Amino acid sequence: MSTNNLSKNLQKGWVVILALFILTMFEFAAAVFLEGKIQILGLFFSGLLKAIIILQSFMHIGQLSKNISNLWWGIVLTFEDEEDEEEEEED
Amino acid sequence: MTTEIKNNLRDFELNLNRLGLWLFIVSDISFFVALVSSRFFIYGTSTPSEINQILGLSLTVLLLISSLTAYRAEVASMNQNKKMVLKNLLITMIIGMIFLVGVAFEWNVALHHEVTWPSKPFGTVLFTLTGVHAFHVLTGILALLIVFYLTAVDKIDSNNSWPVEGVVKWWHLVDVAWVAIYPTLYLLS
Repeated sequence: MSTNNLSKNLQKGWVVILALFILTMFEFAAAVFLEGKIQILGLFFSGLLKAIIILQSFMHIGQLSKNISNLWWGIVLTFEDEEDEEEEEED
Repeated sequence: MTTEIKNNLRDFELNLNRLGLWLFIVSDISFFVALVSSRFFIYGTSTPSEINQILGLSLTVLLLISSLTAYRAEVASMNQNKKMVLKNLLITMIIGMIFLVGVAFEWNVALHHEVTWPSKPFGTVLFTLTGVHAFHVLTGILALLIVFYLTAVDKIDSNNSWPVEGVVKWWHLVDVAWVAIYPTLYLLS
């Protein structure tokens, strides 16, 4: 998340919560007006969509691959630096 | 130690913290998946009419609002706005406590109908799912309280937004779990 765009990020929060409220209303309407498999599918997909929105927008799951990559390269580069230093010492 | 090495170490530690928390979150989500799936084995896809729909919807709306305030606390923390962090953490905790009162009320209502007694199939599902979730909410409130206190007394470095980020991620997990629990317990018919 950017550290500079305070108002932009706060605005994003309102948009996300509005989407979540709309989906919750859809869920409630699906429970009242739909029946059988269509109702189950409607509830499943709206719930899935809500979970994805929270995971992506609020929990920043998209940054996870970047974190793993940074960790990996941090470890690899540290070992490479140590090996270089050892080689220099041997020379 | 040079500033560059210090910054690299801090980034490394932050990435490590995030990965660790995500591993914990994934393990916790798998626990909720098991509990939610047990509902279908025990009681199928029907829901007793005694379930209070208005209360279920109110609890959902409360948690969604608390997610917004938690997110605002995280954004404020990244922008080093202490006052806004404290305000939003406090609101999140208060909403969390109202949620717990709502769950207690739900349990009280459930105990007055035979079909939702803890000894009956649907009651077992209801009390287990809401109980485990309420415990998560309680731990979330305690974690928020600790971070609130540490922020208030300046024990957390203003450049370090990880404590707020971590506790807010935990709070969002509670929200994601409820997203699955709400239709499973209240809406299926």
